[in-house]
Amino acid sequence: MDSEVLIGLEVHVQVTSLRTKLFCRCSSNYRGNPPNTNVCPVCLGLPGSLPVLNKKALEKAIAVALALNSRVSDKLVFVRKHYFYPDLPKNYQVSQYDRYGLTPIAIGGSVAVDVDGSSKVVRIRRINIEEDTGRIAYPEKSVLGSRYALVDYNRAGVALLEIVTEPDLRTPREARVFLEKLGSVLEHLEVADTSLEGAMRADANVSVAGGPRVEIKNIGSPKDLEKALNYEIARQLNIVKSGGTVERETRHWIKERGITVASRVKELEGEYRYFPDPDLPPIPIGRELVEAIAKSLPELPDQRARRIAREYGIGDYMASVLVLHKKLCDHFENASRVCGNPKLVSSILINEFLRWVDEAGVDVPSGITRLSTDRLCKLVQYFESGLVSIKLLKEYVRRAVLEDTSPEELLSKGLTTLGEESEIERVVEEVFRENPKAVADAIRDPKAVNFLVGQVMKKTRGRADPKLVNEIIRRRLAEYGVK
Amino acid sequence: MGWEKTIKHLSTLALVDVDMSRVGSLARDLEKIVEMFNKIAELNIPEEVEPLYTTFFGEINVGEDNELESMGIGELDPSGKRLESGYLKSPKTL
Amino acid sequence: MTLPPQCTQLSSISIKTLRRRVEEDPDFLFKYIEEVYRVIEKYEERLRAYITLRPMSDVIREVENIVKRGKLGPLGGALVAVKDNISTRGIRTTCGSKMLEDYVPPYDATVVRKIKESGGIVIGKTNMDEFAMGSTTENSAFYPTLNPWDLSRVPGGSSGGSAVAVAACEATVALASDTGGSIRLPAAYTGTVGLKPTYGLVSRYGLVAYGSSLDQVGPIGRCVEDVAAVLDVISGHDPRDSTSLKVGVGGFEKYVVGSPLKKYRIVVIEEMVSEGVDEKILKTFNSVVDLLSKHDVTVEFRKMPLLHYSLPTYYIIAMAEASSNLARFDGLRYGIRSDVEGKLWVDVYRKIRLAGFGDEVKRRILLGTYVLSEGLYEGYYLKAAKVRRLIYQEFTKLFKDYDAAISPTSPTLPPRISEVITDPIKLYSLDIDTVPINLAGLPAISVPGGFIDGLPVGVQIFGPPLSEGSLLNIAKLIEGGGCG
Repeated sequence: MDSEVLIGLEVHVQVTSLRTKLFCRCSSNYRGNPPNTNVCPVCLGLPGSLPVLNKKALEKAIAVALALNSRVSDKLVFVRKHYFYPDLPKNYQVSQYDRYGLTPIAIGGSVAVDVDGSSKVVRIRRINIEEDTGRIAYPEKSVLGSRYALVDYNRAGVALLEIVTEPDLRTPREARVFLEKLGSVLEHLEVADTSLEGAMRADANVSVAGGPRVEIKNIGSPKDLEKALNYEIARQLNIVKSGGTVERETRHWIKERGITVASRVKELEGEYRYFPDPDLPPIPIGRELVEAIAKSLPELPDQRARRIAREYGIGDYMASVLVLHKKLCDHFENASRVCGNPKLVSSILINEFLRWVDEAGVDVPSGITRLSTDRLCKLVQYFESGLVSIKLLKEYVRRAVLEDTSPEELLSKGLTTLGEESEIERVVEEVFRENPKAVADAIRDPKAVNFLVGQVMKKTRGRADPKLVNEIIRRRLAEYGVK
Repeated sequence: MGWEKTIKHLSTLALVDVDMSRVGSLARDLEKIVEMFNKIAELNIPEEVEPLYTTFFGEINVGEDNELESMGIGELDPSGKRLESGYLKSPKTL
Repeated sequence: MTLPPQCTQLSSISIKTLRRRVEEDPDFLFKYIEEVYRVIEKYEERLRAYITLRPMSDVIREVENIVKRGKLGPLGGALVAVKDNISTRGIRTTCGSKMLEDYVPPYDATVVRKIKESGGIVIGKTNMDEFAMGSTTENSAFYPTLNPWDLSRVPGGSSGGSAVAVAACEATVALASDTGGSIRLPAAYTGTVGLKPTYGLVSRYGLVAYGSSLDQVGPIGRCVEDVAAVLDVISGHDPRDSTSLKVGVGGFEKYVVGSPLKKYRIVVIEEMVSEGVDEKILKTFNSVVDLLSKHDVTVEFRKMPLLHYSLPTYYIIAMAEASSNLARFDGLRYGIRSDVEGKLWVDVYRKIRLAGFGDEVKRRILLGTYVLSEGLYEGYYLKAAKVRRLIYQEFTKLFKDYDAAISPTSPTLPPRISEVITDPIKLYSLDIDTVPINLAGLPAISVPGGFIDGLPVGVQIFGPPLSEGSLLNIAKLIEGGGCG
C-alpha cells in the first residue's frame, strides 16, 4: 500500500464552439491566423479597456457542469488572479476562486470511467471559467538558443473551462481514459472540439508512497498524459527506492523528449492575490436558465453507451470504449447502419483502428477519414464473402490508417485470402470433384482447361487471379499425367 | 520592525523595485499608513455582514457571441521597434 | 460667478452663450477659439494645466470640418480639456506618468466619442497626479500645476489640470475623473463646479483605471449650467462597460434653475463639520446653509460615527484595486520600452516599473499588494469591504429621510506647494469628506460657496443614487447669478 500512486488533474478546455472570446468580440478562432490580428483593446489589456462577458460562455459552462453532475452556483463571480508573464496582457488572469466567500461556477461532480473492463468514479472538485493566455514562440527553433521571445495574443482571452478532479486516479492508464471520457463529454455537448491543437490541456498532480505532490504542466493530449505520468511515477519511485526524497515542485512535460523537467524559474506560488474583479460584478444565475439548459442537454456518453449496446447488440465494454471518442462512435453508428454487422464494425474500430491510430500518432478524426464508412463497408463485405481472413482484415486496417490505402487497391494487389495458393487449391479441388467430365476433357484437350478456370472464377466471384488459377489447374492436371 | 523585509517581499510580488538606499524612509511611510489602516480593526462587524465589492446594482451588461471589428496590434507600434513579423518581441522567458 | 485674473470676458463665456452666438454668426467660434489660445499663450507657461495641448491650427481645422458638415450639436464647439487618464485616439495619454510618456492610444474612450459626436472639441490633455494618485497634482511625473488664484498654492488633485484649465479660461469645460475626490477637491480649490456622477451613470470605458469600483468620469465647468450640459452628453448606457447603468440619457439642463424644484430636506452630517475643519471654512459653509434656508430648504443635523472609518476603508480598497490595475504596465505592449534581446523578462519588467512609476504610485502598489496578500487579506481588504457595506447602508438609511446632504468639500483651504506632499497622512486627509461618497457610489457636486482671503471655498452636495438633478438644482441655488 505504501507505493500507492495518487493522481489529480487540472484540465483546461477551450470553449471552441464560441465564435468570440470570453470578454470581447474578437474571433476566438485564432488557429492559422497571422499573429496579433484578432486582438482589440480589451484582449490586449490596453489602459482603460473593460471586459464584457460573452453570455454564451456562461450557458456552455452550465451545460458542462450539469453533464459532470456538478452543482451550478447561483451567481457568476469573477476574480483576478495575479502573476506576471509576457503571455498575460493585464498581468492578471480573470478567473474564479473558492475562498473568502467567493465561488466558482460549479462545485462537486463526478465522471464514471471504465478502464480495461472495471468501472470507477472520479470525483470533480470544481469548475472555473477563465480567460486563456497568449502564446509564446521563439525566433530560433530552440528555446535556449533564442535571445528573445515572440508573443502572439490571438489566443489571449479565449474562453477556458478549468475542470479540477479530486486525487482519485491511481494509474496513468486511468488518467488517460478519464481525460478521453471528459473530452468526449465536451464533444457530445458540442462545447469543444478537443482534437484541435491546444484545445484540451492538462496539468497533473502526482504523488507516490505518501510523498509530496509534484505538478506536471503542459500536457497536450490523453496519450501524452499517460506517457508523462508513466515517466514521472517511475522517476519518483526511483528516488524513493534509492533512499532519496521527492521534492515538492512544478515540472514541465517535454513532449519531444518524453521527459519531465523541473521549472527553472521558481514561481511565486500561492501568492496570486485573488480578489473579486470590480469590472465584472456578480451575475445572478437563474434556476430557470439552468433548468432550460438541463432540458436541452444532448445524449451524453454514458447514455449513449447503454443505447448502442442495446441497439446494436455489442458488449457493454465495447460500447464504453466507443463512446470515449464521439466521432468514433458516430462513425461506428453510421457504418453499422450502412454496412451492417455492428459486432464486426465495433471490433475493427476498437481492436484494430484505435491501436494503429495510437501507434501512428494520427488523431482519431483524420484516422476516420482514412478508414471511411465506404472503406469500412468494403472490409466487412470482403470478410463476409471470405475474400479476406481475419488476419488480412487487420492488415487492411493497418494500411488504411498508416498509409491511407483503400481496400480495393490492396485487393487488386492480390492481398486476399484467394491470393494465397492454398485457398485457390481448395477451390480447384472442389471444381475438379464437381466436374469429373470436364477434368477428363481437359486431360485430353488442353483447350478445355478454360472451362475449369471459368468454374473456379465463378466460385470465387471473379476475385481470384486468373493467371494463378490457370497455373494451379495445369499443375493439378499434370499430376494426372497430362502435359 | 520587519518592514524592510516586508518591503522586499512585496517588491518581489509586485515587481516594483525599491531604491534600497531610501528603504528606511519608505518603511516609515508605509508603517504610518498601515497604522491608519489598522483603525478598522477596532470595528466589530456582525458575522452576517456581507462585503461590498461594488456599488453597481443595475443589470450587468453581457455581450452576444458574434464578432465585431478586431484592430490588430500595428497601431501600438508606430516606431516598428516592438514587432517582428507581427509578433511582439519579448525578453526571454526561460 | 467670480473668475481668476487670467480670464477675459470672451474666454469665459458659457456653452449656452457660445452656442447662441455661433448660431447667429459662425465666425464667432473662431474668434472664441483664438481668444482661448491667447489666454493659454499668456498664462499656460506658469499654470501648466496641460500635458499635451493641441496646436490651434489643428483645432481650427477640426472645427472647419464640423462647420462644413453643418451641425455643431449641443456642445456648440466648446473646447473640452480632457484629463490625461482618459483615452484619446491619436493623442497621447500619459496618466501623468513616465510609464506612458509616449503612449498614443488606438481608441477613444466612450466619453470622448460622445463629446466629439455632440460638437465638443478636445483641446488638450490635462495634468494630473500620476495615475490619479494624489490630491494636489504635485505627483505628476512632468510638473505641478499651479492654482490660478494664488500661484504659491496647489490646485488640488488629482484632476488639477482639468480644474485649472477651466478656472483660468484655458478651456470651456473639462472632463476629469473622481476616485475619492479627484474632481471635487480641485473644483473647490479653483472656484469651479465639479460633479462626480452616480457609479455607473457615465461609462468608464477608456478611463485608465485606478480604483475600478470607485472611479467615475465627470465634468468640471465654471458654472452649474455648463456642468449639466456636459453631463447630458456623457451620461447614459454603454454596452462596453459591464457596470454601466441602463438609464435614459440627458435631461439634466432643466434642473439648472434659480429656484428649488421641490421642498428639499437637506442633512448635515456632524462628523463632516466638526473635527479638523478650518474655522474660516466653517464660517463660509454656515453662510451657505443660511442661504439655503432662505430658499425654503429644511436643513437638519445627523451623526454618522462610522465615517471615522471611511479614510482607511477607502485607501485599503483603492490601493488594492490600484495594485491590480497597474500590473499591466510592463513596457512590453505599450509605454516606455526597453531592449529585450538577451535579457530575462523578469529583469526587464523590474527595470521598466522602476523607471516608469513615481514614488507615490510605488507606495500604493506595494500597500495594495500588502492588503491582498495571503494572511492579511481578511484583516484588511475583506474587512474594508465589510465596512464599506456598513457605510453604504448608513447612507441608504439617511437618504430615506433626506433629499441630499451638504458638507465642505475640503476641510482646508488649498495648501501651499510642498506643504502636504511629504506627509502621506496629511495628504490623504484632504480627502476626508469626499471619499465616503465614492465608497457608497453616490453622486456629488462641489460648487463655490464663497471666498476667504481671495481663495475659493467649495461646498459639497451629495445625495442618493441618480439624484444628480436635485444636486444640480441645489448647486444652482448656491451659485446664484448667471453663467457668462
